[in-house]
Amino acid sequence: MLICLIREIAGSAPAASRQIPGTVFQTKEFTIGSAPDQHLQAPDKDVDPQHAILRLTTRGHLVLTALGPKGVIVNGKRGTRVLLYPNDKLQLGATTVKVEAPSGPSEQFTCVLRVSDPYAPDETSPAAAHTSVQGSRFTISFWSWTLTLGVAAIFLLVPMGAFLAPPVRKLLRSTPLVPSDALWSAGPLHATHRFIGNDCTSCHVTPFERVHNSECEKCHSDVQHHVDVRTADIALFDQERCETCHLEHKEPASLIPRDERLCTDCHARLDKLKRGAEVQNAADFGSNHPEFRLAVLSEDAIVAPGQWQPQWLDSSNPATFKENSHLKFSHAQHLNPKGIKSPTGERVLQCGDCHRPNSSGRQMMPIRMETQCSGCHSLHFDEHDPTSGVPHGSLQSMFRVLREHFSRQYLESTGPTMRTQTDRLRRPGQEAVQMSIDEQRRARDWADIQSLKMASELLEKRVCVDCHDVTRVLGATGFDQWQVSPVRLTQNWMPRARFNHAAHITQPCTSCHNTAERSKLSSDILMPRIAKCRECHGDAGDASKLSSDCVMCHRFHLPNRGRFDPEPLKARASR
Amino acid sequence: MGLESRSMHQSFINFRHYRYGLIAGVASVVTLATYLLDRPRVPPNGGTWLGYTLGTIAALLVIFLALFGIRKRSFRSTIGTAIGWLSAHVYLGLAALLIATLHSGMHFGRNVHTVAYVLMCLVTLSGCWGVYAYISFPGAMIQQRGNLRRSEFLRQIAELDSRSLELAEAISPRITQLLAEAARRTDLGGGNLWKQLRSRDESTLLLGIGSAPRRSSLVSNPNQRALIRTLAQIRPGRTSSEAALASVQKLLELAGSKAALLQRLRRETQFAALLRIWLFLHVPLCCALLAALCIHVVTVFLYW
Repeated sequence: MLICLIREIAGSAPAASRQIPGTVFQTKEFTIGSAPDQHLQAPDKDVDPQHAILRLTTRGHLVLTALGPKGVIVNGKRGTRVLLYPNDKLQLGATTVKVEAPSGPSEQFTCVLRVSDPYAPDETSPAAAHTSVQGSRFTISFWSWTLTLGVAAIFLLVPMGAFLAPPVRKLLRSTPLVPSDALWSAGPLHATHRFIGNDCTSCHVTPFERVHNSECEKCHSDVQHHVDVRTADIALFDQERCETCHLEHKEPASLIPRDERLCTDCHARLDKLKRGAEVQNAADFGSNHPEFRLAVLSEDAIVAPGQWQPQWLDSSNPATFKENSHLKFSHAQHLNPKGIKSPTGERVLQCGDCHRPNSSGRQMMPIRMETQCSGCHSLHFDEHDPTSGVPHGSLQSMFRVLREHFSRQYLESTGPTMRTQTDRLRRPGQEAVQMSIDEQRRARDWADIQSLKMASELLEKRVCVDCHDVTRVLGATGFDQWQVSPVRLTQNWMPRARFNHAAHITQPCTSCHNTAERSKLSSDILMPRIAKCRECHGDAGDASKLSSDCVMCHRFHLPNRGRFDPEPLKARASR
Repeated sequence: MGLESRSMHQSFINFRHYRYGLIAGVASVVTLATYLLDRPRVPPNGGTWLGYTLGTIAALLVIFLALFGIRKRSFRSTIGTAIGWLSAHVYLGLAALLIATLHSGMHFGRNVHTVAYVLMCLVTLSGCWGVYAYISFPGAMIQQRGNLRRSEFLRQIAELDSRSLELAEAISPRITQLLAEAARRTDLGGGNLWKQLRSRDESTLLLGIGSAPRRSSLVSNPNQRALIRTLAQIRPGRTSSEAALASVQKLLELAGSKAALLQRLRRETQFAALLRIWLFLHVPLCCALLAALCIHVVTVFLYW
């Protein structure tokens, strides 16, 4: 549509007499408002920046549509959508717009709008009125309330729903981007507890109370205590909670506390806390830790013969500071750098030839005759019979094998004295021939004598006696006259500590077990002393060495101490 | 006399010889030293004894800082002077952020606790902007305003417009219309907050008035440039007198003066907006912080 706008300025001469020039707009939408970019601009506080739009319908009607809530005033009547006809008057604040039908020279136009307004820019004009922030639509208090209520809704009210109403709990927690009580989490869970997910109330059962031990116990039901729960020492741990040491929601996430004060609070002054404490005071590894205490397997031959128990060794007394494994063994001889005799000739042995790590690499496998020694230490006894060999581990088995061997020898007449009886014996594929009682006795006696002779040689002269303590029993005869002391090699020298060989694999064995190459006796103790460890390991805070806290070697929860009771002592007393 | 003259120059920065600056500084140093020297059994966090202590101090400080909002509105209050409160508010606010940071142990996550901390950072940042604005803007405003009030600016602009119209009427109705439209469509720099801050001249000019074969068009008229260009292109006809030419020259000068005035008015509006905008952040964020702080404290112990 083509609209001609004619403006009259109040106070000037009559427009008609002055050939007022019109303004012509060709547009589909003729805009009216107070903003400068409107086709018809009327700066007035009663006029919105975008006040109304004038359109031409397909039937040729002019339609004025109000854009704001103020509406439009045509011929004194307020409306939102008004059809305009010639001679209608549109009121825009102080400005009046008259609609004129095109006629004469203005016939080409859709309509002519004759505008008359007093123009006087002053502070009441809408643009000027908005030149301060206060005039803006949203006030400080509006934003304050919006933000405050928003924060309260997102972080308290909605999550509180998950806390108070179990039915909506799951929905809130499982729906992404919906606030739940997970927003209250102080930090991520430790990786081992991640499976709990957002289920805060699985541990935080009672509001405003710390997590109870019993909540931990739901899963960790068999955790053992530090001291024997049947002794009075348990009183030292009254009121201790799982969470005293095992803190969740912390970063970096660690459930195992490394701070040595958790141990040294008591262990630095244990002698004062407990009379006759089994362990000495220790405050740190580098400078305030007692010498390693070794436990060696020992047999109390009088009270409990045959029962081997770990016994603490007194390192200050050289007379008793030895292992009594009943094995004869010289590390020096076996580690001779020139080599040692073997079935395949001279052979230089390494530590690892006998001491082999277990599958985890942490500990060494036990030394066994069958696997480690028998490669060189053969148990053959008859040089004429390469298949002859006594079993290891039981004297009775050995005697039985010897007697079987010599009996067979007698029966097969391989023995030099048996030739005359050859015809009387049953041979495979031939008729059995019954031996007479006399012959039987003779055969048995011969086998026994030969066996005893061989046993005596093995046990006292060349094979068994090489490694074992063999004693003769006073007054006993025959096969009962010998006794071999059982060998018990100590496997776990430090029952209170953990050592990981795999972690030390870069070091040669002898850098720690440095007396092994010189040790001639099996009673020598080849375990390193604390000074050796301190060459590399320092205090927990030591920057120059490997920082070593208590839990690097020691554990709090010790086996066979009794369950870590979830309830404190007082509760148990009242039960 | 000497004392009075000294107190005359006292601002919230150097109030009572930086009394609160010193207090906040000492508090910060002590807190920082304690944090660095403390050897907690677990990595530093809000749950150690130092964490709880710093958290309590920070929370009390936040409440004290928020009370400034009440104190500054109660003119009758005799609890300290307003400037003293502002000085304490500024310095202790900075110390509070440090204490809260140490309280957090630098552990952040997607939780209400971190939201409270972030809000505190934003409040402090907006506060710092406020301090900067209060120190630097008033001087700049006075300088560029040249001792004129806003209403005076508007009055002078209106006067220039009416003088232009008077001159134009003597030349031709077309130029009268042009100038009337230019005056009407002048952007005085108001509008919403964003427009005030952006301070862009959105004045427009209606061209093609009265030339029926040509359509009218609206062009943007920043700093009256379009008007000046249009006026400068007027080719007075043979009939036009020397006087008409002089009038057009005068119109150009008036348009230039108006552009200068408009620029100053717009800058004035922008300064005023900048000076107040930070409060639009500072106060609502502070309210949100108080809410988040309460939720933080409650929920930490709710799921202890």
